[in-house]
Amino acid sequence: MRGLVATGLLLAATACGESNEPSVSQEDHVSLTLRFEARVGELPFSCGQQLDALGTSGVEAEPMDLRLYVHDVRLLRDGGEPAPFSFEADGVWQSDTVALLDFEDASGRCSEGTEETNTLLRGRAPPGDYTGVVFRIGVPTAQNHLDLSTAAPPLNVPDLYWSWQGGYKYLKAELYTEGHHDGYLLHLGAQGCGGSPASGVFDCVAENLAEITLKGDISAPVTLGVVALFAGVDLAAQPDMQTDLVPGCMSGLGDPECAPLLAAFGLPSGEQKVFSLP
Amino acid sequence: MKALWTAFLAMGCGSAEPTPLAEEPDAPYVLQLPAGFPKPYIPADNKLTVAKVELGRRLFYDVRLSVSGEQSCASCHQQSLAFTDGLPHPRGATGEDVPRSSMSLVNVAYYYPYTWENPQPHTLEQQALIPLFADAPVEMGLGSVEKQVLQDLKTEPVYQRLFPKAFPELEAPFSSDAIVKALASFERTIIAGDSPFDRYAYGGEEDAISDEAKLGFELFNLERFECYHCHAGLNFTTAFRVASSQFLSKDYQNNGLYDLDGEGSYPAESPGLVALSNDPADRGKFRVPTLRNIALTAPYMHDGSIATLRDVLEHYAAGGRGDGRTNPNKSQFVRGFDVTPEEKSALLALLEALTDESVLTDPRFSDPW
Repeated sequence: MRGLVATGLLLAATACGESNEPSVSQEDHVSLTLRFEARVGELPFSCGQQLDALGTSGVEAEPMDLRLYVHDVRLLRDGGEPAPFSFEADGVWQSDTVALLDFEDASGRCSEGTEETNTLLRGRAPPGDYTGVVFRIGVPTAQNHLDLSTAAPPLNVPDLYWSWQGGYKYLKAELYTEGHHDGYLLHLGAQGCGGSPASGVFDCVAENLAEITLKGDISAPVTLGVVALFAGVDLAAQPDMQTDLVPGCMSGLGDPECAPLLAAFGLPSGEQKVFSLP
Repeated sequence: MKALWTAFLAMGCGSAEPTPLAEEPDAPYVLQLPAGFPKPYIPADNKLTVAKVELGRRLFYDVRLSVSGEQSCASCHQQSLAFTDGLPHPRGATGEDVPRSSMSLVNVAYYYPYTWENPQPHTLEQQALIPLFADAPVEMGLGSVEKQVLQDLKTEPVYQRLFPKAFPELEAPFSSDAIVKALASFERTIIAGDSPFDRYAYGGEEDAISDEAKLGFELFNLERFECYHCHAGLNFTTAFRVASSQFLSKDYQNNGLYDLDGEGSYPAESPGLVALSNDPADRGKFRVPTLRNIALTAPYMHDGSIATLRDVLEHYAAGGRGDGRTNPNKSQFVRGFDVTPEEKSALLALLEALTDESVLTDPRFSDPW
């Protein structure tokens, strides 16, 4: 498999020919696409689907949303430093620094989303023999406290934003269930943020930028497992309106449902269980 | 000889135009955007020009655009009230009650979608057709008199000059298409971003608003109050679009004003998005308005049924009004909250700080007649 990857990259190098890269050090970089897919158990994720037995109490659900930001992508290689993977800005899904993956297509219960989907990261990297990939979920801190209204795509999507203080929803995963017609919601982002737009200085109790390290064949898609994402919570639980104000977790400090949901991503520490690579 | 003489006249003396204006017919209108404001969306088939904006302003204040000859756009969109009219809901040109209140046109260039509950218009041009021509309710009532109105406008020397100047590409510039394009162009210029809050947030002036208003802004962005969820960002609404927006907002929300039948229904004259979607989950859902200049645009809500900003805060603190509190379609963000008198004052101070006084008297938006 590794041989295949390297050949693929070499072919890409010859096919690409000239490069418009202004930076000399990037002249030998080649185009590379990393694929993602979302699955519910063995089945591909899609809006309008009936999902069985999710969470600790085995609840039926339908998807309402599944989108996430990704940044700081690096490619692993044996016996060497990880290679940088730089995004190609496209004015829709990717800027130079952040990409938006979107698995919902506004059908079924996903009606507040967008019809367009994106399951690819398109970028450039040095040619090489890669053995895995590392990436962070979310928006880099330096860009997390800007004004949505003036941000370039993909940081201009209102559904994925809270405020200057709170920043962006790094990952938005929502399920429609019998007990939660407005959705059981995971809005993963920074927690406990404060600051002033006039000074531009913000800081947060927890940045929650989960780093995901996956060893394996990067020509295969990275899988986001929806079952694993919700495995640690009871989707039937109703908020007690004391410490638990929302069904799910909107990254509120003190919301008891946040800990197991964050833990699935290895936050604040530990193994993440959501993403995998064959 | 006669033929030659006529040709000579045609060549040299031109038309019956009065003094030609200094600018080129389609000089682009360059928007002066306030600090922090991105480029608004302008459809490719209606580029902003000086002539279109001038024509649009004339039409906006022209009572000939109503079947009664007594109402103009400005009758319900008065500059001194941030382009609203201070009424719970207006009356149309035939005296018919218009069930939803006049919306502020300040920063309307940054909205999407338009109107309270109708997702169909995709541009300001399309939206303008509704008040001009719709018959349920009748607003300007031009549906049956379109030809007469166009004839009427043709007799006006100002329009004889402006219509061809604004639309040199049209063989017959006196058309409803030209009218809505001109109106939309004028509306796009009504941009205000010089409130005390703007100077604080975008101008870096720490002293532009009081400490109380700063506290109000912090509270505004807390999970306890949830204001920021719907009244988000630059224009304080999720119904936001700019030139670079690659996805369009579809945000309609129910904030618990009514539940007439236990199944979420609002009064029949303004049922909400359900009127077009036929989806019961859309009963009572309306587009989120801006909070800019909100201190000037009482009364509040789609039907003007809440009189003051303090009453609005009470409404949200209670998690809705009367039976509306248990409306099945009510937004999960309208769940009620505890709030101290100091916090209420702080929130009100923040809302007051969103008033841009300059737009109320800016001569560029005033009645040119």
